[in-house]
Amino acid sequence: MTALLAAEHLTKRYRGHAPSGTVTALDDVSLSLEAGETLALVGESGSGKSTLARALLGLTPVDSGRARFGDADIATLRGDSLMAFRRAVQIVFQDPFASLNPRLSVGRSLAEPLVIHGIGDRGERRRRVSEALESVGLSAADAARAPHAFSGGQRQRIAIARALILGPEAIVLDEPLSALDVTIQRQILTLLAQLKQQRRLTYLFITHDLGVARAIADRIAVMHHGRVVEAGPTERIFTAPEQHYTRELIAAVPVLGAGRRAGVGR
Amino acid sequence: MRALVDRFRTQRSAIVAVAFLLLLALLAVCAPLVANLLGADMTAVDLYHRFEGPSLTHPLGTDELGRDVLVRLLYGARVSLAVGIIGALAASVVGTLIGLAAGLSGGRGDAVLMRFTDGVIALPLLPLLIVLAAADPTKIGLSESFARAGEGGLLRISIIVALVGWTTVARLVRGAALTLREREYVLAAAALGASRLRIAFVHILPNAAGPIVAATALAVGNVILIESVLSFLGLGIQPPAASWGNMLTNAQEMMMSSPGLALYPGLLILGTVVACNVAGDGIEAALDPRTTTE
Amino acid sequence: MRHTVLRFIASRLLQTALVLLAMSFVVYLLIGLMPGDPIDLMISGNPRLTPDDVARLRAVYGLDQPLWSRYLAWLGSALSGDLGASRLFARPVLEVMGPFLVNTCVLMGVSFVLSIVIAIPLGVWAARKPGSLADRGINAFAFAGISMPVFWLGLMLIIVFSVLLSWFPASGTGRGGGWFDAVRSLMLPVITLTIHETGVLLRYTRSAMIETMRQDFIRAIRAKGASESWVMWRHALPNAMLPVVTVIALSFGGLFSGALVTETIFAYPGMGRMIYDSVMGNDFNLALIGLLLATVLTLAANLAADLLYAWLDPRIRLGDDR
Repeated sequence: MTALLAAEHLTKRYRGHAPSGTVTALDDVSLSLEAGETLALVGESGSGKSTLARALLGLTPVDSGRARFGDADIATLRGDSLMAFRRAVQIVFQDPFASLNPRLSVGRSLAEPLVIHGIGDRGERRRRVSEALESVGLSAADAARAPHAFSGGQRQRIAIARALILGPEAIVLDEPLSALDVTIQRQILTLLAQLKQQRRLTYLFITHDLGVARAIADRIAVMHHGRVVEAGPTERIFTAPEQHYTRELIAAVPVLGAGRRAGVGR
Repeated sequence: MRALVDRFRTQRSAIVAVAFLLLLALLAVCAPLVANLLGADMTAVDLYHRFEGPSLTHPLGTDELGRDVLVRLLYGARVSLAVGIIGALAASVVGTLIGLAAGLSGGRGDAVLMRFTDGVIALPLLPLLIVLAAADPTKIGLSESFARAGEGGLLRISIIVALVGWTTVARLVRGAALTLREREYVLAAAALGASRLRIAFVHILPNAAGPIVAATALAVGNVILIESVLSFLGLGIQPPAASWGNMLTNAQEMMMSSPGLALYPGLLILGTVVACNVAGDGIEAALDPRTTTE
Repeated sequence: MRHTVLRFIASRLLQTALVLLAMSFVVYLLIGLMPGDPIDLMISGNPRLTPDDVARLRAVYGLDQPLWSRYLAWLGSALSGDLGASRLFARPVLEVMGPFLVNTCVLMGVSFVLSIVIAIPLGVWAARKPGSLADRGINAFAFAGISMPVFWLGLMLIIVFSVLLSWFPASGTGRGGGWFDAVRSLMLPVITLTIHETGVLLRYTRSAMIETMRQDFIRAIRAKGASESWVMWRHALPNAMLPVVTVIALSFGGLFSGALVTETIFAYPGMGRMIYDSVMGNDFNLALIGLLLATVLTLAANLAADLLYAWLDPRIRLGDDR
């Protein structure tokens, strides 16, 4: 069965300040995201996770390899098929304070995807925006306010609402919890789980927190220095890791006792 | 936005500057009114009353052709303010478009546009303006009357100014575009399928607006200086239309007979440009989060 | 020296040459927009020329060719040393330009140095206590300098110092009369030009210094007990110099424009005035070369700014050259 979203031998290099002159962000990375699953992509900072996320959405060009959406190479999509792709795969970013245009009201930011895709008229859009806000636990009245009036957790909800408003099949979540307080993290995670079930979404969940990965993922892929080091079902990874690096990652997670979620893994 | 205005209000000197400019604008608008009151037309030549000192009929005296100085100064204010604003706006618009194109296209397009910008910056300003001002419009297909007519003169100078003045804003906007295009909300818009045009005008431009406004305000002052130099050299606004610059053209000869004639237009230019600079500075200070109250 | 530095210089030089080439075309194009062309002037001087003569003359001078081929022809002869003849002076352009160039360099050079000498210490002093009376005064002076219409300032100075006080002459270079006269003739033009330039430099120096003084490393040095003067001159100033140097070099172009106006007011026989006269007098060759020369000057100043900046910026100087 064709994967919903896949990376095939993606390589990307940046001209950086390292002694060698280039930084290899992605080194022959291949990965597939099957419909309906939650795939967690774990790794340290700088392992290339965000780059992979952006490459999969066609937001960053790659040096070699392909990102595929179903059967199609994303780089070849144009016009209607490109717009269809955009509607089907969305992204939520890490920094809630930078993911909303400070100059637009929340309502306008949420309505934008509808405007871009020519969906509905004014009234219909307003209705959908209200719906979207309510589905993430905010109120319809919030649409008139500016982003800076909201807390980090609330802004992340808005970002999630924006990602959902087009009715996508898959969402790439690039460290959506990392910038939030721990208690808020839990709330957002619960929200995400609910939404996934309600709308039958597929998640690519990027995180450096192994504990979170264990809690929500069906499969885990481990990245290190731009490569996928190991990938497999969640429990297998945790109980029988094959690679040395994976073992190190797991060992670094402090366990706070049975029944409680593990803390930040580094 | 409101925070910006509040901060601007704490810059006392900037408030004074803006007040001065508004007053000047008001007076300029009332120029025909004043002309009527005094019964003096801007172009009314009266060779029996040349070089008169201040009097009831001519509060600031008359010039070398017997025309009322005050009225001409007011009409000159119209010219300066109009050219200043239109020229600065035109230059800003051109610069913004080029800067956005450069900053958002990246790679080749950016490099080409920036080299071009560097090239234009390298051209010496005043000589270039002189050549453009002396240019024969018929050679590019415009009619002769366009060049000399009152309105045409204003438009012509504004266009010339826009042709050379866009570079500062272009660089500014390009810098802002390069920075802003990496922001998550811009990436999010791209992920939603936003076109480059939309990203440029809905996401990048509004967030770069502050510095652009400050630069435009400062540009008004520069444009006024440019217009006055060109008019002084005989290449800008042509007599009998009044411009502070062309009122000074014969100043050297008039120095002995009526030094006031050389003084007033220059003082007004100086005052207006200082006001523009202080106001523009105030806007910049209001944008800088670290500014303290004066 | 370092391989990377040489490569940097070489690439900048190449870029400058290319920009100059591109701009030479732009300038050629613009000069062509000037009213009349050489043939029209000949016709007005000799009404007995027949249309056939005109056509023949056009062909001889190559004026019936499209723009780009005329440009290439001009470029060819320019690069081989033939810059054409000046119509106004009836002599080769190169010959004519020499003395003008020297005069302008003298005027610009003196003003430049003077304004640096005045602006930098004043800017440093003003930054000492931002908001103080001295600072406000200096800032006001800077604003006035920037906003002053140069030609009006020149006129005012002439009125006061030449007409009323007769201290300095209002025109010429006074070369004939020896050293002292030359200086006297230069006084007013230099003062005029310097005031504006000083204003510009003062503003940038002051704000660069204030910016630098705010930084943490200054506080650290102060905490070690260094005197205020030591902090400013030894530590803040070198760091503030980086943006200031760039501004200094970039203001060169503005300096030339100011010089043009100053020369016109004071009847000073410099490049600026030469360009003005040649444009007004339809002397295409002279105007073209004059403009190009001014462009070369500005490009050279920009290049110097780049190189100086690269040399001063410790990140680049001490940077990786492994």
